[in-house]
Amino acid sequence: MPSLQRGDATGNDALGMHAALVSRGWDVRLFAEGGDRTLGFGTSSEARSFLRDGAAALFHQGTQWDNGVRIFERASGVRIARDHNVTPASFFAGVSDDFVGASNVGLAQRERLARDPSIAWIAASAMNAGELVALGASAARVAVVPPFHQAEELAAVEPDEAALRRWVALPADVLFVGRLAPNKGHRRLLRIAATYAELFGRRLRIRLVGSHDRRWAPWLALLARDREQLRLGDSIEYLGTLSTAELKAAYLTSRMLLCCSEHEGFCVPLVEAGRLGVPVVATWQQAVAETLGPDALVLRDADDDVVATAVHRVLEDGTLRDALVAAQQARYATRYAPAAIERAFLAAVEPLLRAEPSR
Amino acid sequence: MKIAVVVQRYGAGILGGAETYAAVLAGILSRFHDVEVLTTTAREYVTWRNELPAGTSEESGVRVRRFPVVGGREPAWGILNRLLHDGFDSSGFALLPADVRAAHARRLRAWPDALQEAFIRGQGPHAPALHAHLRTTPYDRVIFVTYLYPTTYDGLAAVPSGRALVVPTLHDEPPAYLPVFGRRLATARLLGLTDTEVTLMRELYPGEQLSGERIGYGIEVPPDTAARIPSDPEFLLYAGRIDVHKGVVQLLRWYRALRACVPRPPRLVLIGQVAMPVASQDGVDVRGFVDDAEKLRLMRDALALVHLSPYESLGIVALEAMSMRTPVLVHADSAVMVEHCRRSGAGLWLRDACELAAAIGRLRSDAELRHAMGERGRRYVEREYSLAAFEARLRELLPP
Repeated sequence: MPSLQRGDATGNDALGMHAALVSRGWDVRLFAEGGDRTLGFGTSSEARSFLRDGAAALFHQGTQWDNGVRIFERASGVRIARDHNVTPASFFAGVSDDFVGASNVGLAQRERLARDPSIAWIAASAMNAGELVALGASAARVAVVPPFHQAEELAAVEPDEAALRRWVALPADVLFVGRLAPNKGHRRLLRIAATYAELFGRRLRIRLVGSHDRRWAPWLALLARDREQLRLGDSIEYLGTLSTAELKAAYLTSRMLLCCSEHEGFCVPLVEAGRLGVPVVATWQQAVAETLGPDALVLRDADDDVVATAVHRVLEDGTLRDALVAAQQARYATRYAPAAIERAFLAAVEPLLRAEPSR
Repeated sequence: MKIAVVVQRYGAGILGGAETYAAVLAGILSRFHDVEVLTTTAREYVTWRNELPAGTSEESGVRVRRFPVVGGREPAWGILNRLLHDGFDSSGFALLPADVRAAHARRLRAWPDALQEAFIRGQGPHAPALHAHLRTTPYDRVIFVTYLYPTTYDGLAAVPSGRALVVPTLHDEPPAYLPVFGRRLATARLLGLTDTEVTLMRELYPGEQLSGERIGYGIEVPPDTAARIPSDPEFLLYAGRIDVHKGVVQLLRWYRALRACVPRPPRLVLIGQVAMPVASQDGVDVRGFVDDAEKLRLMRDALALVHLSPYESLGIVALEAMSMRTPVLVHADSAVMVEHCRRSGAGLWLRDACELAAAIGRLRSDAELRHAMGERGRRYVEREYSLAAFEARLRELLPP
C-alpha cells in the first residue's frame, strides 16, 4: 500500500487483514511506501524481492501509486487486489488539477488491473464490486468484504475528558465525519441546515470532523461563502482532525450523524456511529445505502425540505431514534463486528491463497 | 404462567436491596408460577467479574440461569460518571435544594442519547447472552428489578411489548435523571415500592406516559407474641448502617440538643454496621452489629425508633420497628418515611431537635398514644408490607 498508518481507513483495513491472516498461521509481511514506521512495514523495494519468490500479494488499490502497481503486476504468486474507492475526478474539476490527475490515473490503474483475469478482487461494497465487473473483472473473482475498521477501539477508548466537557455543554444536533472534500456533501449539509432553520425556527448545531487539503482552497472558499450566505454563523464548527479519544467525545456529544456524501465506497463513519449508538440519517448514495442496510433512514431523491424534516423527526422522536440505532447495531453485529469481517475476509482470501503452492 | 425475574446479581450472600427484593419476589412467585431468575455470573458490582458458574441451578427452590459477563465496568465509565455527577455526591443529592436538582435535570436532558447510554452500559454488567435468551425465550412476563443497569435497560428492548414489568427501585439520585431511562421504562408496567416512588417516576420523566402503581414488598412480620408494649421504655433506638449518609450525624446533633432541654433524657442506642467514626458517650450507646433476635428485642423495648436518613427507598427498619409496635420518628425530608408515618399513623416526622424533644415528651407522657401508635404500626405492616400481603398483591397482579 502507498502509506500505512493507524487511524486512517486504508491503514485500519490493512492492519486488520494482517492480524486476521497472522492469527490463522500465515506468514504475512506489510510493505508500504511511507507512513508510520513504528508499524514495522518494509519498503517497496523490499516488497519487490519478497514477491519474487512466489509469495501472494494483497495489493491495496486506491489512488494513483505507479510504483505499487508495477510491483503488483510483476508479482509471480497469487494476486489479490483490495479495492479502495477512488473519488471520481469530476468532483475535483475546477478545484485541484493535481487531484483530477491523480484520480484519473488511479481509476485508469484500477481499470487496467480489473481487466487482468488472474487478479482476484476484494471490494468493500457490492457497488464497488459492480464497478469492477463493469470494468472487466470476472464476477466470480470479486468478493465483497467490508473493510476492517476501528469502531471497537473507539468504543473501548476513554473519551477525551476536556473535549467531552466542552462539547457536552452545547451538544451537536448533527455530526459529520469525513474529510472536507468536494465529494463528501458538506455544501448540501449546510443547505439543509439553512432549510432546517427556516422550517423549524432554530439553527442546528453542526460539528464537522475531518482533514482538509490546502489544494482544495477554491472549494473550501465556496464552503466558507455558503456558510456566510446561509447565515449559519457559529452554528457550524469545524473540528479538523481528531485523536481517537476526541473522536469518541465528538460522537457521544452528537444527536445524530447526517451523511450527504455524494460518493463513497463504504463510509466507515456510518459503522462507527452505529457502534456508538448515534443514529444516522443519510441521503441516498449506493454504497451508503448498502452499508446502512434496509432498516436505515436513507432518503432517496429527497429535497432539502424532506431531509431537514427527517432530521427534525429523529431529533424529536426518541422512539424513532431508538429504532434506528437498534437497526444499525443489529447490522453491525451481523456484518461489521470484527469477527464477522474476519470471517468474511478469510472465507474470501484463504481459498485463493491455498490455490497456489506459493504459501 | 412462565415468568422471568431479571436482576444484575443473585444468590446467597449477595447483599443489596434489589438483589434481596428479587430473591423474595422470585420465591413468592414460584409458589404459583413457573419462575426463572435470569442473572449474571458476577458477585460484586464494581468489576462484575465472572465468579459464579454460568448455567442453570436450583437455589432455595427457584431455578436460576446465570449468564457470563463479557464486559464489566469500562475504564471510560469513570469519566462519564464524573461528568454525570459534576461534583454532586450521589448519596447527598436528595437533600440539595430543588433548584439545584432542577438544574441537574436540565443539564442531563441536554445530553445526547448516545452519551446517556454510554453511561448506562459503561457501568456494566454487559451480558449479551442474557439478552439473547430473552429475545428467544417466550416468557409470558419478564420482571426486571432495579432500573439502573444494562440488564434492565437493554433487557427491556429484548422483551415483546406488553410483557415487561419493572420494579425500578428509583431513588432521587443523579443517574435517575437521564431521560433515556424514562423512555425505556415507559415500555413496561412499573411497580413501585411506595407511593412516593410512583410519584417520583412521574416527576423524573414528565414527558413519558408511565404506567406505575405500588406493589410494595414483604417482610417477615415477627409472631405477635414477640411484640409487646414496654411499661417504661428508657431508650431511643437507631437501627441501620451507622453512616453519615444515613443521617446519623444529624441524629447525634439533635440528641445532644435534646439532652440539654429534656429532663431525664432517654439513652440513644445505635445498632448496625459502623461506617463512620463514632463512640459511646453522654447517653449514646453504640452497640454496632447485633443479630436479628437482639435487633427485634431492642426494637420492641425502645421508646421509639429514630431514623433521620433522607434517602430511604423503602425504610425496612421503620417497618420492622412498626411490626414490633414501636413508634417511629423520622426526618420530614424523607418522603418515603413520611409516607409510612402518614399511611400508618404510627410515626411522626420532624424538622429539628425541638420537634424531636416535643415528640419524645409526648410519647413518654402519653402511654395511651404510644400504645395506639404501636397498634396502628403493627396493623399497617401486616396489611401493607407483610409477606402475606405482598403475595396477595402479586397474585392479583399475576393471577395463577
